[in-house]
Amino acid sequence: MKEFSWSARKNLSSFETPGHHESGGGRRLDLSIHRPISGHPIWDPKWECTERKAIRSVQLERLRWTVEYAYNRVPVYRSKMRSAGVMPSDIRCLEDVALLPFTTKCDFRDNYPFGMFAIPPKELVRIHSSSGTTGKPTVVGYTRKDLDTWVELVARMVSAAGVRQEDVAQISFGYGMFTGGFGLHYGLERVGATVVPVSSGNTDRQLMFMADFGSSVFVSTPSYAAHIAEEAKKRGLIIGKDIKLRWGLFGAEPWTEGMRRRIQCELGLSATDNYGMSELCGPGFSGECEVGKDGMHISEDLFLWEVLDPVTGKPVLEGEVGELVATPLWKEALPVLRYRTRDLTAVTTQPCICGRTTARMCRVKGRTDDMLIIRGVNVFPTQIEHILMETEGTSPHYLLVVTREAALDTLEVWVEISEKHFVESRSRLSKMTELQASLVKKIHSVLGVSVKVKLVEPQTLERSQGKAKRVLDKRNLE
Amino acid sequence: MPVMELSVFLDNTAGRLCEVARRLGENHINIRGFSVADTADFGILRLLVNNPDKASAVLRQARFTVHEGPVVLARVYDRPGGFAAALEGFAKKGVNIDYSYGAVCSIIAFGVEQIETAEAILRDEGIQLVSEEELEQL
Repeated sequence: MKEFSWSARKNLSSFETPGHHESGGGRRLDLSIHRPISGHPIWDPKWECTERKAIRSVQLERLRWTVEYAYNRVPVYRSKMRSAGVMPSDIRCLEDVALLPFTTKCDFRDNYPFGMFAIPPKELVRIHSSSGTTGKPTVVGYTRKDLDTWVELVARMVSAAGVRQEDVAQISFGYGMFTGGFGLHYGLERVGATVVPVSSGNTDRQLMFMADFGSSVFVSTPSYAAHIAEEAKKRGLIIGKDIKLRWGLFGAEPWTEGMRRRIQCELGLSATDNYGMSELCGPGFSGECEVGKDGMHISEDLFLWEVLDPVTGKPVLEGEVGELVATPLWKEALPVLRYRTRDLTAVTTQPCICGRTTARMCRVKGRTDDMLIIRGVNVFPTQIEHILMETEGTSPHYLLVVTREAALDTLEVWVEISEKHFVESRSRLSKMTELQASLVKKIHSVLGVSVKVKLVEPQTLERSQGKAKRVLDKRNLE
Repeated sequence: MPVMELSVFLDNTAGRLCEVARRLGENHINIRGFSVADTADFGILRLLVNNPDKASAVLRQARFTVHEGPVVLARVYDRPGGFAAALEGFAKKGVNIDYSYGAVCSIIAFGVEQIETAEAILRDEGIQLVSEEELEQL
C-alpha cells in the first residue's frame, strides 16, 4: 500500500499548469490577491476555511451526539456496540472513534429495508437506494433537515468545482433511486445555476441540449464524458462554438489524471473529481476545487474520516493509501458509524492553495473488492488505465479479461486502437504489433505481471451510460 | 500514377471479413485485389476496388476503421522470372517493400484448417474449385 505518495505541494509559481491552460478559456487568475483567490468564491467559508483546531472540536461534539443518538435509537448499533464493549460515554476524544465497531454494506442488506433507521419510515421525506447488482439494494432515507444539509454539502462541492449562479448545468447522472441525479440537482439549484435534468443516456439528446441551451456545466461519470466527447466529434460539433462547456463535474467511478487531461482537452472544460456514496448521503462527501485540482476537499464539519489498512483495520500514516472509513456527524434519519467504503485513497491535511483548510483525499485508487489478484499480484484497473492513457495510439476504452488456463490466471487487456494512430502509422502491421509489445512491456514494468494485450477495433467495446464496466472475470464461470 | 488502396483494421473474429465484403457487394463495389495480414488478435485487410471513395464512405458508415493510402500497381509478366524482374530493381536501389500482393484475379486461395469442409461449402455455393492441373494451364 505504499505506491502512492501525496503529490508535491503546489506553489503559486507552478500554478499555470497545462491543465489550466486547456481549461482556461481566457480566464486569468489574479495571483497578487491573497486567499481566497479572487473570482473563486467559497460557498461556506465559515466551515470550509476554519482553523483545523476549531474543526476538530466541532467534530468531537458532533461525533458524541451521533454515537449517542445511534445507540439510543438503532437496535443494530446498540447490539454491535455492546458486543464491542463500548458505550457512548467512552467517546472522550476523536481518536476514541477507533473503539466503535465498523458498519458495512452487509449491515444495510441484513437490515433491509428500514432496520438501520433511527426514525419511523413515515417521518422520512425521501428515500433513495443504491443499485442491487450483488444482492438486496441498500436503502437510505432523509429527514427534511438531512436533505437541507445534503444540499448544502453539494452546493459547497459544485462551487469549489467552479459553478456559478450564471451557469447552465446539464445533469446526465441517472435520476431515480440513485442519489447522484437528485443530489447534484438540488445542490446546483441552491447555487442558483440553471439546472437541465436530462438524466442519463440518449447521447443525441444530450448533445442537442448541450448545444441549444449552451450548457456550461456537465455532470456525469468520467467514462460517459469521454463517450460524449467522442460522439460530439463524430457529429462535427465544434468545441468552443457549438459546445460551450466550462466545468465538468465527474464522479461515481474511479478515473485517472490521464483521463482528466483527455476529457479537458476534448471537451474544452475544467474537469474536477467528486466523491460520495448513498450510505454517507450521496454526492457531497468531498470534491475537488478547480483552483488546486489536487485532491477532494472533505466537508469535515459534517464527516469524520479515517484511512485504514484494509486488512488490519489500523490507521495508515497521513498521506498513505488505505481504505476510507467515514462517519457522518449530522444524520437524523440514518446515522452511520464508521462506514467501510471499500474505496482506497489517501488523505492529506496540508492546506490547499484555494484557501480551504479542509482535508483533501486523493482520487480513488481502486476498490478493496475490485482489486484483481493475478498470480498473487494485486492489480487495480486504474493502474492499467493510467498506462493506456499515457500511451499514444490507444483510446480510453478498455476491458480487462481474466481467465484461468490450466490453473494459471491470465489477464488480457483489450484496448481499442485509435483511428488516428491507424491512419498515422499508414496502417502498417508492424506499427500495430509494436504498440502491442510496448504496452505489454509497460504494464509488466509497472505491475510486475505479464499480461496479454489485445488490440480491438475502435468503437467495439461496450460504452457505459453509467459506471463503466472494466473487468470481465471469467474465472468463476469455468 | 499511384492507385488508392484502402486498409481496414479488423478484429480477428468470425464474420468480420465477410461483413466488409458484403457491405461492398451491396453497394455495387467490385473488389479488384486484396490481401489480409493478420496476427492472433487482429488483421489488416487491404483492398483495391473500382470506386475507392465510395468504398471508404460505405465502410466508415458501417463503423470500420479505414486508412486510405497510395500503392504502386504494376503489371508483371506471367511467366517464370516475371515477378523477380520487378523486384530486382527495388533491391538494387534499396527500396524496401512493406507488403505486396497479387491483384485483379478472381482465383482466390483460402488458408483454412478444414480443407474438405471448405471445399464442400464452396461447391454448395456453386463456386468453381481450381485444381493444380488447371492452375498450371491458366
